[in-house]
Amino acid sequence: MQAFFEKQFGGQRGRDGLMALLMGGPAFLLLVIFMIWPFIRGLDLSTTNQRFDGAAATRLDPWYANYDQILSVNLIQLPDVPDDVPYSAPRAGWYRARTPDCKACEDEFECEIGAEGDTICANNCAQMCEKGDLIFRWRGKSLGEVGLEKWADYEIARNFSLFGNQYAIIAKDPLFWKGLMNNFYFALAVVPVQTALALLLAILVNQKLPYRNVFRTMYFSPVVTAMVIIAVVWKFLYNPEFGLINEMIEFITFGQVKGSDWLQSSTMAMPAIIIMSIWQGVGFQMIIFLAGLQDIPEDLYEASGIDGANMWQQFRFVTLPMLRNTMIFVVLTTTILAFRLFDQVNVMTPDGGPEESTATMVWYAIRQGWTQFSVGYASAISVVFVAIVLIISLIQRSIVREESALDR
Amino acid sequence: MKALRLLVLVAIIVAVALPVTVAAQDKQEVSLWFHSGQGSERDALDDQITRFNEASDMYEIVPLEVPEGNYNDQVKAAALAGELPCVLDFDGPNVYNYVFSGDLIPLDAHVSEELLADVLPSIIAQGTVEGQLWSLGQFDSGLGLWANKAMLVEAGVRIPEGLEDTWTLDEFNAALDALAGVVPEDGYVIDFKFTYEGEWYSYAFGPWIRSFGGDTIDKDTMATAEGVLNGPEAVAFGEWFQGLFEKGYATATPVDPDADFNEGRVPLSYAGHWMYNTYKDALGDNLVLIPQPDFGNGAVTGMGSWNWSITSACETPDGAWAFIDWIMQPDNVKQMTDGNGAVPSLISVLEADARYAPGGDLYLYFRQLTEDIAVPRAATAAYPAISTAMSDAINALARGEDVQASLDAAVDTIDSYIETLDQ
Repeated sequence: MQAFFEKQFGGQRGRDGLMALLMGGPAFLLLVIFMIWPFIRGLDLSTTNQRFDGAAATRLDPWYANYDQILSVNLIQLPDVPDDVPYSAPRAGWYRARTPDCKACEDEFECEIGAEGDTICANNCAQMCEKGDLIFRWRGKSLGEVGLEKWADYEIARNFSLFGNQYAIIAKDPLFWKGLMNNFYFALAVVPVQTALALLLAILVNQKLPYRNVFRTMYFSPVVTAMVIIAVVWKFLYNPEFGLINEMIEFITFGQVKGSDWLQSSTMAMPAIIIMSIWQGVGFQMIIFLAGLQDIPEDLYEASGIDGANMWQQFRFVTLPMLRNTMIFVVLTTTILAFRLFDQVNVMTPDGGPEESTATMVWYAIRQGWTQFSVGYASAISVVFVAIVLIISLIQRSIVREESALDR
Repeated sequence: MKALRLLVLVAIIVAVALPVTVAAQDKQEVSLWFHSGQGSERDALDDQITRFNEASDMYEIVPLEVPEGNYNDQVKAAALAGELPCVLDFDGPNVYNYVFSGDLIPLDAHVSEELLADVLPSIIAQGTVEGQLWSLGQFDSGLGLWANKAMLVEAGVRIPEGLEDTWTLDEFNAALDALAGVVPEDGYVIDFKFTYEGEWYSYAFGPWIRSFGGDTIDKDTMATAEGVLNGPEAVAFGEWFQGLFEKGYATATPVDPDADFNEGRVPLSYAGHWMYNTYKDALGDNLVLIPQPDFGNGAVTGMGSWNWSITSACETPDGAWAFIDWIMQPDNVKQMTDGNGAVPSLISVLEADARYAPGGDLYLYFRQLTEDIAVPRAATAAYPAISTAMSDAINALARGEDVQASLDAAVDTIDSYIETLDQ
């Protein structure tokens, strides 16, 4: 082998080449085995109906059928709401959900003795019951019954009313889109907040405080703890009745503010996971910022101090520009990590949360492949997921490039 | 070149020596997977494996314990990867899916008439697919309401004597209302074991939906759940069940429900036989088992439990059978069920057990299993989807999500799975 390299590249260079291959080899090998090869297999599987059940897999016709299922979305107008909305669900069409108040009201009949001595019972629940949500129900291929034959394969992802008409965003696989939206929600909340918080903490622990190493260790310790363990602990903290967080909220506000249902509520489940994720991940970014801060030469601060810059101006015009590259790195990695959201979701809300409010793309891929055994479909979801993350990273990088071009 | 020569030498030594070492062992290895259930089950099985290995001069059982939470997923993954063990246990209703996938071999060629005659009919029914027997278990399950007798008496709630005078829906509701008056401030009325994951929800609430008049799948065709799991009867169950949470009678976020029952914070606990020993230790004679209520279409309860099968990947089916035959010995069945409180699968063991005799603590389980109250879970290859769908739907109901929409989603999960099976 060495002889081969020496012959090809001659003496020293050949030996370096061999050395480089030896040193890099294990890493390249692992990359090929655990990243590149599975991705190629995933691409291949995504065009089949491969299952875990051992049922024979066949190539789909057309080959992009899985992708079509995942990506098909459309906007349609729904039939008008009838004047008399039923309370029990039809196979297809509008109905009104019974609220608990409505149910309670209907259970209590108000009876009085009529003029002829007979008992007349009535429950005047109309007002109470009209507060129920209007729901458009849609079962299987029953769309023909309401004149929407064309969209028989679609399901409603979300419907809304505009200028008195009812519209719906429909998709062949609404849960994928829900997961995608949840991913964006998570990333848009986590990336800026976590980055800002990490910078703040880094500046804090960079001060010459006594015991600052204790603080650094404290902020960093969640990062080295397994996410699954943290998620289990936080699940208890978020318990609506006995959890520490609600007890603290009530204690601090002298019982004036009631705690939230957190993981049991469709509006608070994702914020709960966001808060916990920021707490867990912020230490990692803090360490990177800390390294960046310590790289800034002290004389820049001295010079700006002599020029009369105050603390804020020093931060704005010395610290921030000098941390530019660190910032880019932190934002890029945090974004990718945010889109990979899975562990905490799967532990804290294994079924995707209330009304699928914490379902994410990775969660959905694993759900399809692992629980529902649809390996082919799950592979297609993963490929779409990689493509989306890739596009977002490329957009971020191109924005960063443009800015550096302006700097010059 | 020197290094190469050394490598070849090592390879030769390994190639020559390895068969010798294997041959020296003399016993054939039989791989086995089992779920890590309760401690008492593990201890009993460990002991039985050890004694089997000591007694057998032909086979050596090599066990591997797999976490229970996603046991089924791991089995399916192993099947796809061709890594299945020789013998494995699994939760009853999965047998239909495994047979459909060709993961198992039938036991008919091995099992003796004598053994078959002693096994509970419910166990045979559960393990039979297409006229062949595929699995056998050491125990069946019992499901009902565990109750704190003193608290029921305090609330003036009637305790049913047997299946004949079980609670009706109205009586059950009245009992819950009455019990709400006696529970301590940090307590609640009924525990539904919301700390469990996975199979529990299908096993426990499928029978209740059935008693309401619905079902988890159309049992005539096994082709759809539409109109059955989301029909008016199932919706009635959903609204009633959700009401228990809205009234604060039950909680979807218990921290330690076992302790809540043991320490008198909750008077009713909907759970299976596996809680018997824990509850009995804590409550003693204050513990009473209440049969399944009649929600309108007769009382219905669950059945079936963990079963043993031989996989199609097994190269030593005789060894695998020798082990299953061994654990089905009356002494071993008794050892297991004494530990975990389950219903022994052998009639001879059942009859000798005072707990299952009339007046015994668990007599109701025996009656539920032998008197047509117990209904097996849906015998379909789509069962894994039913399990997932039920778990999602029951949790959604408990959280207060729209009843119809939650049940519709469950039907979609099941029906789309059936669709992929048909392809």
